[in-house]
Amino acid sequence: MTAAAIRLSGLHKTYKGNQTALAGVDLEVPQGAFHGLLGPNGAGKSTLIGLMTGLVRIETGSVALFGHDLARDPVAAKRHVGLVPQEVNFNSFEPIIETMVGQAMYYGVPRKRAGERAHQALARVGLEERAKRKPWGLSGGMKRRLMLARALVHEPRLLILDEPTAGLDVAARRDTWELLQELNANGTTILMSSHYLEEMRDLCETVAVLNEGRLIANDTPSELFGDDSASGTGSKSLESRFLAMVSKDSEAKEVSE
Amino acid sequence: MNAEIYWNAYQGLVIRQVRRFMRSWVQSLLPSVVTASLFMLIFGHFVGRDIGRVEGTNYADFIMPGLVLFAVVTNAYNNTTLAFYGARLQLHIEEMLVAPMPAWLIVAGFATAGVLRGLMAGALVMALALPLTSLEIHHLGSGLVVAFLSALLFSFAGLINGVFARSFDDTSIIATFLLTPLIYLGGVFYPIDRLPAPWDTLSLGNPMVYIVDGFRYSLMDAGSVGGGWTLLVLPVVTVVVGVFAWWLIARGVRIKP
Repeated sequence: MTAAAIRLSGLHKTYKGNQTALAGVDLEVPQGAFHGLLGPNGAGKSTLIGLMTGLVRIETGSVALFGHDLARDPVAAKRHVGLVPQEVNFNSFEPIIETMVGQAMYYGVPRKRAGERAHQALARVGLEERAKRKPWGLSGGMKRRLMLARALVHEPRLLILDEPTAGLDVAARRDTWELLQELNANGTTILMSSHYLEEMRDLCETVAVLNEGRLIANDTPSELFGDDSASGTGSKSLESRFLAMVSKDSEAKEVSE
Repeated sequence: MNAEIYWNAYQGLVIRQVRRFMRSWVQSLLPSVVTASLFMLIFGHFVGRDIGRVEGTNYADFIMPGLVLFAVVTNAYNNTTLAFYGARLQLHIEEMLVAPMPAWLIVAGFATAGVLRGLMAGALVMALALPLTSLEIHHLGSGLVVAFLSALLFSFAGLINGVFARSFDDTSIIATFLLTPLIYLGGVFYPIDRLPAPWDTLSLGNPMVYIVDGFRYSLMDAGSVGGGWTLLVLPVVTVVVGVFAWWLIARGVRIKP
């Protein structure tokens, strides 16, 4: 049996001040899937992504990527994962090509091949002509594309994206969608968090919904938002269904407490 | 398999860190060379002629080993402090945390770059000072060992500073108010056995005394406390400080919530 690309079991996370970010999340994402992660601000999406990628310390529960436990065998678990974080995290004083080559080498790619892959990844997002420049001159959209190129430079089998299209204009967002669809069609498993409901509906096969640190739903977009949420319908209907789902869960939690 | 990944990742980190300080060599390497040159000129030649011979050698020769070591340790320390704090501040530490790089590899990469910068600065000061002195190197091997271990020790110490620093001010506080006084009072400009009581005894509690003295012994075959102590204590202290630096990174102190 093929191991799941992501298997999360009983993930809890509490930050300083007893602030619960995750309260026992279980989730499985099969290989080759395009999985969405949806939830209001503060639902725990970024914490969940941080736990999966080694940016946040695991308290209780476990993360397995392609069958490798992240705590016990971090090298095997992380090797095939690429991350596009929510916040820009480049060294502003370093030429873009050095950032790209360095990142590839961190994943064990030999230097020469890292250089070739860096140019390929930059060309893929339309930034090759900027390879020798420093990233401080890039627009917000270009920085997002650069983060995507950096995440792809070691050719990961699992791509995790934390709101990758936030702040992008319509054309850039469409380009990103096309690239993600192409990657997914070629076998890359994708887990993507987003606030854009249409993005979830149009791209994802399955969507996990988080609210107040708990997984409250994990289903296909049509099951979650109804059949009338099919591509092409207005976003208001989607928003009302999503808000209804979240507020119903919050009310139920209040009553139980 | 892992060995190849580690080796490429280590190279990637070292190359990036070396390029980082070489991009700003005027700010990183040059100041210690200028400072050492001024000390050599003023104390070694202008004032040194009136001081006479110290420990059987002229004063310019006496202060030269301490000045070389001063350049080595301050460069090593400042390099890792600023590099690590900068990586935390700009969040590009995340590039390492998401990659299959264990904590020891991150420490090794930063420390190697610190050692290289320290030794480069020391070599520059030495190249500049040698023509101004009549110094003959007596124990080249032990001199290189002391210089290397000093650079490594202060690279680890700088990394620890980089972990705990909350602002750019914090990156210079230790160097300015602790490291520099310890070096200046560590027998760079005088043999500590010439100090009046209780200063001679108190000086024995200054770790820099042993480092400077060990290096002076290697170069001049002279010293106050004996080079043997340095070769005995320095590796032990280096290992202890290095293990602490590794523990901080492995635990994710100040880098992982």
